[in-house]
Amino acid sequence: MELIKNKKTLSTQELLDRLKAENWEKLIKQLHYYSLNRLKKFPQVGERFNIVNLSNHFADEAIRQIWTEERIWDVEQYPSLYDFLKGAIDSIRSNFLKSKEVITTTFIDEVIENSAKDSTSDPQALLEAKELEEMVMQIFSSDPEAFQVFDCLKNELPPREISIELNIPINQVYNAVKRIERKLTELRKNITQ
Amino acid sequence: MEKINKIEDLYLNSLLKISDQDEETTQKLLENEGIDGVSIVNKTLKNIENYKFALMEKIAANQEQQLMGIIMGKIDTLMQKVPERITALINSFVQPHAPAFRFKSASYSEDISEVFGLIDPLLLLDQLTAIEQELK
Repeated sequence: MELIKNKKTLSTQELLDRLKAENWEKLIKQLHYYSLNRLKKFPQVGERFNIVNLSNHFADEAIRQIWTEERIWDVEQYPSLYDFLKGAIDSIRSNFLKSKEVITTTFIDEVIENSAKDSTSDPQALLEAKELEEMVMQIFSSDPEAFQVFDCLKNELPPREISIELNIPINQVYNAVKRIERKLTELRKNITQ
Repeated sequence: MEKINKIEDLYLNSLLKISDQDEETTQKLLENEGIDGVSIVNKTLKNIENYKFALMEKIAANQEQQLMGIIMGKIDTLMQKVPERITALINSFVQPHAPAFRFKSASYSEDISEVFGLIDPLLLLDQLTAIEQELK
């Protein structure tokens, strides 16, 4: 007997009730940040488009699509609206990149998969993690504060806690975040040139 | 290049995980990128209000459609049994709003769809149900 996996979708009324119950203020910020963060994986895009406007557009479009039922929310597969909308943003971005013929050799899912925390006992993975750690140290050798902030971020410490940990004002943490990003962009550019 | 990519992935994924757990950080990270989080939220909430309104209208239209289907079903059945009573009933509902309206058994479904917005469909449904009960 053939097994058919049913898609669990909501009626329009159920959808409205679920959407009304969400904390949209929080969700809007999270989605816009998610969109921007993922778009940064495609530096080529930044050279041709305004990355902030584009990422805002992707987030807004995902929100529009769910409210207008243009994109159907499968609540079985995505019980969390945030997860569903992240998927929607990924799909919108992917279609955009394809339409603009941006060559994407790395896909986001693979990135997330590959960058999982190095808590494994696999010697190869440990060696790789060590090499990366050394490289990070080397990259930020002239900016020890950025290195410390990077290390804290890697351990998923929020900036507020980093500020306490390093005993520096929180704005200084965010400035270090900017420097980290600038440095990484610069390095990537130098390598590709 | 591969290593730089990995470091960048690590950095971006860490920021994302932190942002997912902490709303204040999300707001600050947006600000750090020159994005005004408050204005983004206000603008999007305004759009959401419009989407919400459109969705509510869609639900109301669906409900009206369903109600009309039920009323039509009852009229169909009752026209076979007591056509004069049903004709008089429908006319009494519609004519106060559209005096020229004459219920015609041949084209009633079209006629009623046209004037459905003028009448109280729930009241009409009640009366049709009452006649239905009476005839049982």
